[in-house]
Amino acid sequence: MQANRELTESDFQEAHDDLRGLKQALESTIVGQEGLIDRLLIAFISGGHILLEGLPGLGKTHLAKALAGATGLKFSRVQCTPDLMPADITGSEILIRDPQGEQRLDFQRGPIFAPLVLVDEVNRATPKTQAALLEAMQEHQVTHAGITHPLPSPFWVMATQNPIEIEGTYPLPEAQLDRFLVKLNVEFPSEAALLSMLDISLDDEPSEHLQPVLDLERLVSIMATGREIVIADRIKRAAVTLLLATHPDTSGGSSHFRYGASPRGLQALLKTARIHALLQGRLQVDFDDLARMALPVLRHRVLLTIESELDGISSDSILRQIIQEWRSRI
Amino acid sequence: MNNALLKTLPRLVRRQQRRLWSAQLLTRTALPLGWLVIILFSSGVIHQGWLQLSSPLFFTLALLPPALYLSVTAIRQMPTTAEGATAADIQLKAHALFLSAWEITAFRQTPSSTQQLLLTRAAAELPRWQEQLRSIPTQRPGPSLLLGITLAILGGFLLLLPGKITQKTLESGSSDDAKQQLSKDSETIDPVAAINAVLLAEKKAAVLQHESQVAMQHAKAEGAHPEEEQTGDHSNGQSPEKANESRMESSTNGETRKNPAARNIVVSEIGESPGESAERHSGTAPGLDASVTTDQTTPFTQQRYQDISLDSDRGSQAFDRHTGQHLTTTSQPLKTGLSSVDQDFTGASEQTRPTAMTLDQRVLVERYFKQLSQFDASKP
Repeated sequence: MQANRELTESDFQEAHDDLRGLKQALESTIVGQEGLIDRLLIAFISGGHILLEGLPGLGKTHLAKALAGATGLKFSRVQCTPDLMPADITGSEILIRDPQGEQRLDFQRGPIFAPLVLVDEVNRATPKTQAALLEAMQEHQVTHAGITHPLPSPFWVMATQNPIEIEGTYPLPEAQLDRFLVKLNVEFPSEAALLSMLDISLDDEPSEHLQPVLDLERLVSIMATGREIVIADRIKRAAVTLLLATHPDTSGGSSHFRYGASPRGLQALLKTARIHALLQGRLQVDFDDLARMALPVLRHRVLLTIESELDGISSDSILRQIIQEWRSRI
Repeated sequence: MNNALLKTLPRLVRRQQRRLWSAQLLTRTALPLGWLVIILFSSGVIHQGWLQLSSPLFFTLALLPPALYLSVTAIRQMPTTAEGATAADIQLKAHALFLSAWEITAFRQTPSSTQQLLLTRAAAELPRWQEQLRSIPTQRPGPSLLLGITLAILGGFLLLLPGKITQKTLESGSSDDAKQQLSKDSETIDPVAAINAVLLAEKKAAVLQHESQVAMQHAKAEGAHPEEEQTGDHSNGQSPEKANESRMESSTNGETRKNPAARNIVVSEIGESPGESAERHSGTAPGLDASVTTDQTTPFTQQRYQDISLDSDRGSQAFDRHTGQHLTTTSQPLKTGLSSVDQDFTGASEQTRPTAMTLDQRVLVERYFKQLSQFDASKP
């Protein structure tokens, strides 16, 4: 990766244009989910892992495939079930016989060894398997039999989960949820979007035929440009203020939350805000970038109180209120 | 780093900081203005309608707390330069370009390549920013604020104007309280005023006696030079106007001249208003002014009341009700034509108007005037 490189106006414009091109490519295959695609791209360019939550059949897997296709990345998929073992994801040692007739144990890499991994229905895997997966997400490496195996770089995990299935699932613990950069809710498409979807994907899966618009090198370059985006001190302070507003024990903090967002959440907020600014063609982060990215970044990092849960209050509604108040104070 | 940015951005930030400060103060004026209006207006209404209030006290009470509140607010709410930059950025809809550029120029020494790019963009936008910030109108007070200020000014006027009770006292003195007040006043100042009048009269008599002797000498001299009388005698040192005035007085008051010592001096009785007193002595309606004139050309003192209609202008011709003639010389206020002694006397008489004397004092004064009336100037 390039560090402290000399960025020129043309570099910046190129990165911006490539990003817009990638977005358009995704929008051509997934209709009626423009907001979702925006946020997905932002999280992707930020280098973070993505948790997609939505009902079955809304195109979560389709979206992940389209992203892999548009970027030309090697893509692997893991379908989680309760009997899925950690080795099924990370890989395992198998006994092999070499041409000379000698037998030895060799590490066979699992599906995790791909730049882009789709983990379908992650909440159906057992906590042990989830832990193995999430360790790989955080460390970008897999340790087996005392040997560390690094994962490809960049490395993304896109996990999906179904919000309505409770039986036979293992909800992700808060500590593990925190490892996802964003949690994106896949909304039901509008009537017009459904009609458009019929036109392009009734008999075919357009994502399977999507030609790459970017290669890995270009993708890395865009990510590096994103890291060069300027964040003013005043914006950083505002981000801290927003984060602290989710904490019940700080002045002005929300009493609806039992636990507020973590410092990792603050990092995630600023990382995604930078790419949002890049997508908008700006060299600097604005307050609006923070406001736009706050909900997907913070929603899985806060924990509602029992009383609020019993009252049927969602963390999204409280967060929206907090963001609105914070924005009005600036 | 761009010099224009280095110079202009801090200036724009300071300007916006000042605007922000004044806007914050304007929004904080509701409470102090409410206080001001309530205190000034209510005290003004009370002052005019019911009870006379001390204006300075209520002005202080109305102005001091809001002034203190606004001062404290102004100090505590003073925005920082960063807040000013943020406000300017929001005003310009610059999406943090202004803010970021200002931070780079204000705090950073060597900008990175991205920051350089950002500064270049900011420099390109600078003329537009300057124009935009210049064109932003300064915040004006809202309608509620203007209404509040108007009410406060109105309340202040009400408080400054003489109260209802004071007006009544001044205008008619008809209320019982006012009469009692006047009666009390007259009782207290009566002896001093009466003695003052007596002393003044004595002083005046001495002067007039001296003048009469001089006049007699002149009369003798006139017998020797009768033509001088036809052409006008200015030998007594008076101006032509004064001489005319004196002649008019002497012609219109011929009756009085026959009895040179006769005089009318108003002595108010207890509880009598000045107007009533004047009416009693001059036969005119109350409310008419009364003043004393003296014919200085005659050897004797002639004091009388001239009733001047107040409904006509002071500058217009006055009317003497005793003789039925207009007094041309009173086109100016009568006091201006009086000698210093007369003025003193008039001043004293004004003081003694609402006075009353005790029995002893009255006897003393009457005895004095009796002696004075028996005085014959023709005798050596």
